[in-house]
Amino acid sequence: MLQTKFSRYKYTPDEMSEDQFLKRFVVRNDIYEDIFDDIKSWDNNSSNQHYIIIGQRGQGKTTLLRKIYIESKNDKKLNKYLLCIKFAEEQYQIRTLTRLWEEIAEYLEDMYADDFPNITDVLETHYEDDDYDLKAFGLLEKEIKKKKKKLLILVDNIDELIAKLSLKEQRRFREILLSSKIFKIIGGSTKMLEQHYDYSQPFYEFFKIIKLKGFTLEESKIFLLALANKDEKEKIENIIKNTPNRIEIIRQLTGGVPRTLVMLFDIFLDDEGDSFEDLLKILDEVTPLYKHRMDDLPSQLQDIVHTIAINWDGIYTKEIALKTKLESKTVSAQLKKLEKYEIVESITVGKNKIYKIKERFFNIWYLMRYGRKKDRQRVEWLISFLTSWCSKEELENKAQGLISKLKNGQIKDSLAFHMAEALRYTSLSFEIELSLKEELKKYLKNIDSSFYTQISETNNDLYTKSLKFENENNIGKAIKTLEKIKIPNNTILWHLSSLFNKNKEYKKAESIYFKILKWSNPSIEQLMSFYVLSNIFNERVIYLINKRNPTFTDEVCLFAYSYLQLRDEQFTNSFVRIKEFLSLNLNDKSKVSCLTNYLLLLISKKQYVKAKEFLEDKDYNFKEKIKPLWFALMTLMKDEYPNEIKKMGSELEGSVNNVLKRISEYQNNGNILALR
Amino acid sequence: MKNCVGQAVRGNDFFNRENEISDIWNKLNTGSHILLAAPRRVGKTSIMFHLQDNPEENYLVLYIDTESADNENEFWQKLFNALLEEEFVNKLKIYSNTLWKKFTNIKIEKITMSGVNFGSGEVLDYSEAFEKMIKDLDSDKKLLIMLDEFAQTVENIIKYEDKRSAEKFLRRHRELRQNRKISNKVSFIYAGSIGLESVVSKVNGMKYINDLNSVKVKPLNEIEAKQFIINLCNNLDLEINDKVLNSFLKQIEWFIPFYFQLIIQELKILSKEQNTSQINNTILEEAISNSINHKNHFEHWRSKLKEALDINEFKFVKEILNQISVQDTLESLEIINIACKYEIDEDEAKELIHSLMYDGYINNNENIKEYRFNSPILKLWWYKNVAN
Repeated sequence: MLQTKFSRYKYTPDEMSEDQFLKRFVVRNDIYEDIFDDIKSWDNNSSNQHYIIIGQRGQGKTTLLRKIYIESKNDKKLNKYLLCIKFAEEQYQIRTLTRLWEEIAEYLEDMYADDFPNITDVLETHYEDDDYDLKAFGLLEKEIKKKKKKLLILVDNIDELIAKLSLKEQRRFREILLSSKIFKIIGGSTKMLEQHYDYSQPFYEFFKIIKLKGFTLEESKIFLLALANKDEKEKIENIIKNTPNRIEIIRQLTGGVPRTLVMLFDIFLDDEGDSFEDLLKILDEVTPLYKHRMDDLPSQLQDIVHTIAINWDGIYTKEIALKTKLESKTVSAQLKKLEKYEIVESITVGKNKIYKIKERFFNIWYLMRYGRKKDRQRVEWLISFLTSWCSKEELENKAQGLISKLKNGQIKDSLAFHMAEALRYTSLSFEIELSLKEELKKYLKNIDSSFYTQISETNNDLYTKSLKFENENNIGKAIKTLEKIKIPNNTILWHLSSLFNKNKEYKKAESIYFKILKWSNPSIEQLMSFYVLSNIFNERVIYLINKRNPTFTDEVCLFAYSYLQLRDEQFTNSFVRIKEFLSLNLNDKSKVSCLTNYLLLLISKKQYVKAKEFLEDKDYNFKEKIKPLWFALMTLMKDEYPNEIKKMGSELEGSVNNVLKRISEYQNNGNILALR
Repeated sequence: MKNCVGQAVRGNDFFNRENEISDIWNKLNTGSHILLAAPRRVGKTSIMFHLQDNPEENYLVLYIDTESADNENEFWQKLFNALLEEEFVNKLKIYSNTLWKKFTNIKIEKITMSGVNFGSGEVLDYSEAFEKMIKDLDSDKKLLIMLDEFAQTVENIIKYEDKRSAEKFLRRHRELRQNRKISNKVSFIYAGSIGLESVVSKVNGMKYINDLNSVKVKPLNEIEAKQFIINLCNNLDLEINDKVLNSFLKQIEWFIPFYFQLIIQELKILSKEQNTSQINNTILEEAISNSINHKNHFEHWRSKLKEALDINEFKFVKEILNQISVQDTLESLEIINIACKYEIDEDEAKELIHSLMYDGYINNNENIKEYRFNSPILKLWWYKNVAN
């Protein structure tokens, strides 16, 4: 995604060069301008508003702080009097309020040496005073006022600083926030978004809290374009022009959180694996915060969050109730709480609500940490991204690319493993999936990677296994193996259905079939089509045919079945069945009557050659037995056999014409049912 | 007029409170010391900032927040240091040369934690040092010292020292105010976001503050409130018609600037999201409902009670507020019934209800026997976050 790949700076905006950074600051200008205007109009006679910018991890807090910092320093009017200090994300050294003032003094001496050549000395001379803590800020303030300056402090993770203050220091801090005219603070915080964050101290009320929300579709487009290099820009422009829906999909997938957005793009475009290493590092970093979020919930809520998180996609209350074994009512009440805590969000679909985890990055973390091993759960988010972003062809190309990378050993194991796992669950062809798995196995074993033991069994693996059991005639085991597949595709379902049939579990077989077709209350006619298409003739089929035609013997049922197969144009299967019927020990009259009907339909479907073959079969000699049909066929085939028709006696003319008329009726009326 | 949220305002951002301000100056001019009484968030500090920035001609004004002081000496030390603070001293130079000369002539040898060593070899504690400085002043201007969060200081002293020290502290203030030599030269305004009276009554100290002249800061009236909203909306390029404006007022009910500022901040966000500058009722509803998500502006309504009350008292007031938040009003008979549950006698219950009223939670303005939340917004927050 980014021009300079493989560095973590894309996730820590402070490490980017100033020029590059400013070029990429293209969204959230309104929020920035509101704050910056306030800074510009801040003087001794105006209110002194402090700010805290809160937002999920990666939402752009640090970026916003840096933008304010750079612009404040570059503004010609402001930099005459505004001293701007930005603290790094971690401020371990600041444990007390006094330490904060000392730290600021040190910054001033470093960065504004002309104005404050010895400000730390001023503080130091009072270091031994009993009341040093009380007056440290006063001393600092006095020096700054002497130079007619103002101090703007930007503190990322301001909650960490606040957490270290004693009660007395908090009250002191409040005094300063309220009454100092030269001190303004702008903080950033993720923790303050959390439900458990303690806002009971009254100094919080002096802050205007600005909550960063996920990007809108428009913002996402602007943002992605600003980040792309030349080649990528064209690609993204094309996407925006031709398939804008893709941007919307990835926006929803990431909740519009810029860092998650970039990260998914990077993982997608990165061939070697550094971006995935970055992701794993960031996941480690967020673990304490996210663990705290989970630990802080009562166990029932944890259970519900777990269910929603593992599902990744939105999930209905009913399904949650089913999976957690809780009552729907209880789940609804608990979901309300979780929504209030901003852990989940819902969308209304008709009368129901679909819930998902609000912070998508938290959900990714959850899946990667708590998703079952050897299962698609852990990469569900990546599957989701890949399938929504790529066409089938692109996915297969990507898989082929990965296979050759694996062969060459040019890829880090974390990316290889996760990407291969995710790709294997997209709709790759059987062969590609299999070879991807084999290469992955070989590669991970070769480099002795811990991921080796975590390779999952995909649908194809299970399918292969099931086929093996089926070949050994162990149908029960074959069924059980296929049933393990979580999200089976239609081929698998179809196969499972046939296994049930083999096992004489007809109703199960049918129900799967109707699930595929999404039929709710199938008619007998529809049921029959299923068996016709499956080429299954068994006691269930006989039962179904008898339901409609109670007089049919088993033999006639077989004929009816072959007739239906013909009707549905399952020619080869039908021919086998009709031959089977003809070979049965039945009287000649029945056979002739049945075959006449069969051939009428066959000819109406223009299968003249096959009809001729049946009529000429020496075993039965139907040509002689059903002469009108034979000459009707010959009339239709007169171009090929012009002499045959001449053999017809004139007495047959009427009957032949009748036959031809019926054939043409059949042809005009596609929906023939001649079972009676 | 900028939309400042939560912070006290200054200068052009201040919405004029002519009545309160002239009331304060009138009372000061008759020699009174003032207790600036109002529930939290009503705008006391902004009024004091206004007094500080726009003093009457014969006054020099000092504002100080003393909430971090947790013993008497520290309080006086803060006050003493504030007098020596450069900005104030510079002001003296401009407005009262005599006073300035006097100040700069005071020789201070050493300032320590416990007191001040004046050049003469005299070592005084801060309270005495303050008294000495004031007495020695000889000026055409009167000092106005505004002590913000004074009740918090008293509460700190009770907590970190004891009730006796707090009582002594209050007595000392009264002595200074009663001392004509001091009183001629300095006036005090006591203020704070917690009720001074309820803190003082804990140490049976009402007698030490009954000389204070109380100025009540009232919410805005309807005309002021409308003007306030219009001013803020204009500044943010938001358009609001009369119908929506009236609905806004109806839903806020208790017209303190804070709630307007908070909701207007949300209106601005929504108007941007929805790409319209025209505020309609739907946007207004959404803004009101979003405003209670600002935990930083609401949590302390609960935590303050938890901190200041003992466990049974807290449970009692919590249940009272819970019930009012659910059923809108609560009768005094019901309150006594609830008090019984927590083994709180009738007088104690009345005292607690009184402090809830004083601190701005509830009122019985419409019917003396029926209590309701001052602010529907706070009621909504309480209902969602405490009662349920």
